[in-house]
Amino acid sequence: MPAFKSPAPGFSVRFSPFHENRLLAATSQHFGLVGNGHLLVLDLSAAGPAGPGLAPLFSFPTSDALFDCAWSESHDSLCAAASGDGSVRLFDVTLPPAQNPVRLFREHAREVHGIDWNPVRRDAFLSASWDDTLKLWSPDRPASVRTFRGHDYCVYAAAWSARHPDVFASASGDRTARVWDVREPAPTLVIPAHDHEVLSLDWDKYDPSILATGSVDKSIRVWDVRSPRAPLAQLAGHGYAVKRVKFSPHRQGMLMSCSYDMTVCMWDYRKEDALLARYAHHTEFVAGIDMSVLTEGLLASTGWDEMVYVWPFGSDPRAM
Amino acid sequence: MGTRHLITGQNNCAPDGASSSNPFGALANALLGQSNKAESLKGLPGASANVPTTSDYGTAAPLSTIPGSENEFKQDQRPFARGADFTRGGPANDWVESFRPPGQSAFGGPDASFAEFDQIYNNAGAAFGPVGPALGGPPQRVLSGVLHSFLSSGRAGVPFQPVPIPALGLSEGDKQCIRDRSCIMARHILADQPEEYIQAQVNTLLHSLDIDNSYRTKNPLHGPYPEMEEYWNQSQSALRSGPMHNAANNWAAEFGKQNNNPEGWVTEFGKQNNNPEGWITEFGKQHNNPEGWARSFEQQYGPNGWASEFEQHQSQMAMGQMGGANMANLAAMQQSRMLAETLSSNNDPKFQNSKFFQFVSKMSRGELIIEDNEVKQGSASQSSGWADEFQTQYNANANTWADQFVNEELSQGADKWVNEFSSEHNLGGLNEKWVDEFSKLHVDDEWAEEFSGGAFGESSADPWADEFQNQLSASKQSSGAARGVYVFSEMNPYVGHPNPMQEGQELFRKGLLSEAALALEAEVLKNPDNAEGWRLLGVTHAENDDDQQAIAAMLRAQEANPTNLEVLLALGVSHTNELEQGEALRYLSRWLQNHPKYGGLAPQNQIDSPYGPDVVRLFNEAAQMSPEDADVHIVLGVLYNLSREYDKAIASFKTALQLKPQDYSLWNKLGATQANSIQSADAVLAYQQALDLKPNYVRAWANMGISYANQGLYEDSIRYYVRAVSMNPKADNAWQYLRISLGNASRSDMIAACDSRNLDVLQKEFPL
Amino acid sequence: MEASKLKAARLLEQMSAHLATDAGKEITDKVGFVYQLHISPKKMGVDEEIFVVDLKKGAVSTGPYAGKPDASFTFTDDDFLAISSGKLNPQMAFIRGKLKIKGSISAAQKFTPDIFPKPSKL
Repeated sequence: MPAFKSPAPGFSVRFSPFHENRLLAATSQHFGLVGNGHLLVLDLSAAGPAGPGLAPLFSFPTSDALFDCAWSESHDSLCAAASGDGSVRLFDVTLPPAQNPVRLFREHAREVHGIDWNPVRRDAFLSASWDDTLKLWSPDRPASVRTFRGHDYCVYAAAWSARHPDVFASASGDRTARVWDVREPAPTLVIPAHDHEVLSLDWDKYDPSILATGSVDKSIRVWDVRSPRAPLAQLAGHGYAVKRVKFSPHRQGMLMSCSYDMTVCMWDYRKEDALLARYAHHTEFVAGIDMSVLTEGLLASTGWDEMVYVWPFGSDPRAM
Repeated sequence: MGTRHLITGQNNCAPDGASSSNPFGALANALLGQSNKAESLKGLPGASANVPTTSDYGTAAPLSTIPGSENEFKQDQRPFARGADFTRGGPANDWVESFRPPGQSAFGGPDASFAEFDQIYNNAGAAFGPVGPALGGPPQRVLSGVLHSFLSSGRAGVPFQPVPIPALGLSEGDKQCIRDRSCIMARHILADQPEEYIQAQVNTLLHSLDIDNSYRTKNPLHGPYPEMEEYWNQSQSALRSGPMHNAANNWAAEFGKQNNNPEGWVTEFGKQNNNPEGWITEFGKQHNNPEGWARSFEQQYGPNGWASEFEQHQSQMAMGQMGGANMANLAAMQQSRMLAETLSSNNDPKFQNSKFFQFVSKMSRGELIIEDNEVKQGSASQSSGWADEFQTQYNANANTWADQFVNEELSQGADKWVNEFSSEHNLGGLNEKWVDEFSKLHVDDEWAEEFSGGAFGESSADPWADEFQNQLSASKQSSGAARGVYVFSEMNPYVGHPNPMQEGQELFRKGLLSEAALALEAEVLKNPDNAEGWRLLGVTHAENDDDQQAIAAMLRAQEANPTNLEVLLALGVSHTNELEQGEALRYLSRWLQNHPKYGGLAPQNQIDSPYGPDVVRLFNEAAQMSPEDADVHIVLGVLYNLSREYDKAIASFKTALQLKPQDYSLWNKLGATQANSIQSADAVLAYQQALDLKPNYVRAWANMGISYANQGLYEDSIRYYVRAVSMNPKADNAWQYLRISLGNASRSDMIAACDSRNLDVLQKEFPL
Repeated sequence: MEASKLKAARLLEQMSAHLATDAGKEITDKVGFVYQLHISPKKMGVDEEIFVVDLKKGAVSTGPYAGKPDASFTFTDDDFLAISSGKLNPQMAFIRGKLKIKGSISAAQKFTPDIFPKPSKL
């Protein structure tokens, strides 16, 4: 399977929504505690059919750690990165590093930990920061469009609804997940989702009322925002905090997750035996995962072992 | 650097050869960093600052004096080993070694291990400067225990030994980074541990790094939200029954209820909305203000909650450690006991090998030093590309949604998402597939429309928008044309043209092939039975180097007029190009059957799979009948191509050329035959003849590129491919070949431009 | 090879000639592996024909290799052509299950479109 050795521990990986063989990866030296970051663009097709391939097509160094990244949904060479210095950076990957970032937004008072591009309204994206706020951006504006306050602790992740252009959800260390409408000043729904910090969340791509949260309590919970009093399902199986959750763009009910237990798991929350697969290919914490929209069943992961893996669901990431 | 390459190139890796997962290399990289070349980045300082002398550790507690435990006894090597580690100056491998179970050598023996270490050591030397000789230190399992106790599953919070302060060179900014981030991250990783433990671990780390931990900025929220839950249960109990934590089965029932009442939850929401802003407001009221619960929490626990209390306690503890050697010794003794327990309790080799744990320990020991030479990255130099475009666009069309948004009254949430959810449910919109909705092939992309329709649309100020359109049509084309279905272009300006046929013929004559194709498409849309329209469209596509579309058009032409000889020949040629031998033979033998003069030669019944040599024999008879008929020789040339009798094919085409020297497509056929029979140099001459007669002959340009590539002249081939694709950006084959040649010519730097079909860049880089 | 109805056979014949040229010899020098190809007309594994592309010697032949090839590939005729022309990336073909590989990874990695000649078009 394609694998790539990154220059530093990986924090996030994203398939391009435009090129099926292109990946974005955010990496940070010293496990993100201090030091530089690198935003990498990887080309799946650069190598032969098997083995450690994945050559970096572009590499952009940054002066602080990068915790997350996202491709633009409007322009195939544009992407955004969440930086430890509180900045949100836009890169045009066709421009040389000297001309990047093409935008540098310095508004967050603390580390930016999550970033998500609006897949419906493609000229907007969100940043989630440890300063307890989220900010809405448009690449053509010099400053943020809005700031969303309400969380009482670090916001780790934001996820746009796959259907509603104005709706997104956020995951915070205040143990809640919140659902927001960008036209509303306050969250429209607060879900006390876990008894521990909530690190990640994602919307179901098929049922716009379904949301999954991943927490430090090692569990993933699936929620229906129409009846958010209790989770629809609770997925147990990770041995440490769940770092990210992601819904499949192709199979309803299918989820991918990664954890500080160094594994990646696939789930179907609607099944009694929800755990579909567990991948233990990483040798350090797994911090970034993604599922390709363009190639069904294609998965990617990155971790603090400085590896990026790409493999089809059902196969071994390290096998040929 | 040379030495570095030399050394790392040596074949002294671990026996298992797992170079990519070489933990030492990775560790060295992790610790050294890769980016000190880049000016704007933080780098690591030189050797002097971070190589404490062994004597710094001379005062370390004599751990072996702790009575009683076997484990403790094992630790008695620590002060020495640690010192040895430092004398080497670099990130030493005994860290990793220390994780291995006793008696199990990781790399097949001390020698191998040493060689491996040597490699790393030298690597490290590149950044750290020359240092003393390497020593094979004994495993330091205690230190691995430190790491475990810090982040894995230690049972009690016992601080590390303080590290001499002068050895550290962290800037205030870096310290804050480490302070903030380690606090937050440790909580994610050590979730199982009591908060005190986490605090202690973080404090120890910070303390050992000489980081002031008295003003940490982020304290976690404590405990669940009693008020919140209480409220939640109250407010919900009116609507539903059942205890909160027993909901696993309840939800199904609830969901069922809701399904019976499709708008159940919406109604519920609506009810709440009767309270002006729903339950949140209600909640707020209950507590006098929206942040009520938080306030009350504060009142209960004080402004900084229990955490500040704990902090005080911690700093007292830290002070104590710094205060006297006795305290330090005591702490160290206790620590070692704890560590031993930890060590024996965690057997997961993955965690034992985790570089992260090693890293953190390194940091805590002050071996890792980071210098802050923060140079801000210029955001001013946005000279080209997307940014400018966007700026232009933005200035020109300031009325974006964001502006509207800003201007809008925020509270005018006339259509909340709640409503949207409900309306969608009513519409049954749930069944739509998400993928479809967001498919990038979707045409009604606001952006694209804005650009192509807007003020800048026609002036090509927006390469990416064009490119988007190209990709769009390209991908549509490939999906449709592969099945022999003709794929029409979107937004054809010739639709509605009074006489698109004439226009198409005129454009074709002028050599404007892509335009001609559009006009002819308009014609066949208007008159789907116009065989000549379809035929010329097919010819146009063939000359534009798109055989898939050519075949699709010719099939339609043949449908309209099954006996047209030109159409049959064209289909024979196109199928030959696609290496579809059987199909090609079928059309070429039909050509003979339908020919007024030679039809008598052919067997009258249609043969589904004619035998090649038979067909060739018949055509030779025809050639004898009328040696002056160039067309017969052309078909013969194609037939010989099919049977790979290239010499005969070349002779046939040359004969035909004597009869029709102005037929550019014939020159191309000759060239292609020569190229396929590895006479690429001759082929180039033939193509040149074709291009002299028809300069816009995309197929010949592309073939020219192939000939150069097949001779290994990749740079040259690139120029011809670029010419071909700039004439017809839809020539997929030429794009693919261009990409291959870029790779062969070591011009991977341009592959991105190729992938995004950026003609401007490519033409500039590869002028012809 | 002449008897084969596969399009792949046509390309491989051309390749056989191409390998005798200077540019072809460069490929042999650069790659130096023996590939065995299992090519089926429509469905993978059904009615497959076996070809050997010997880039040690610079020869193409039909039938299984006498010995152990460095890597074996299984695909359909169309997919093979798509791969050899650069239309389909081998990595992606593999990922999508359109290509099966046996043998050494390093050998398989050199199985790329640039080892194949490009057919010129009439």
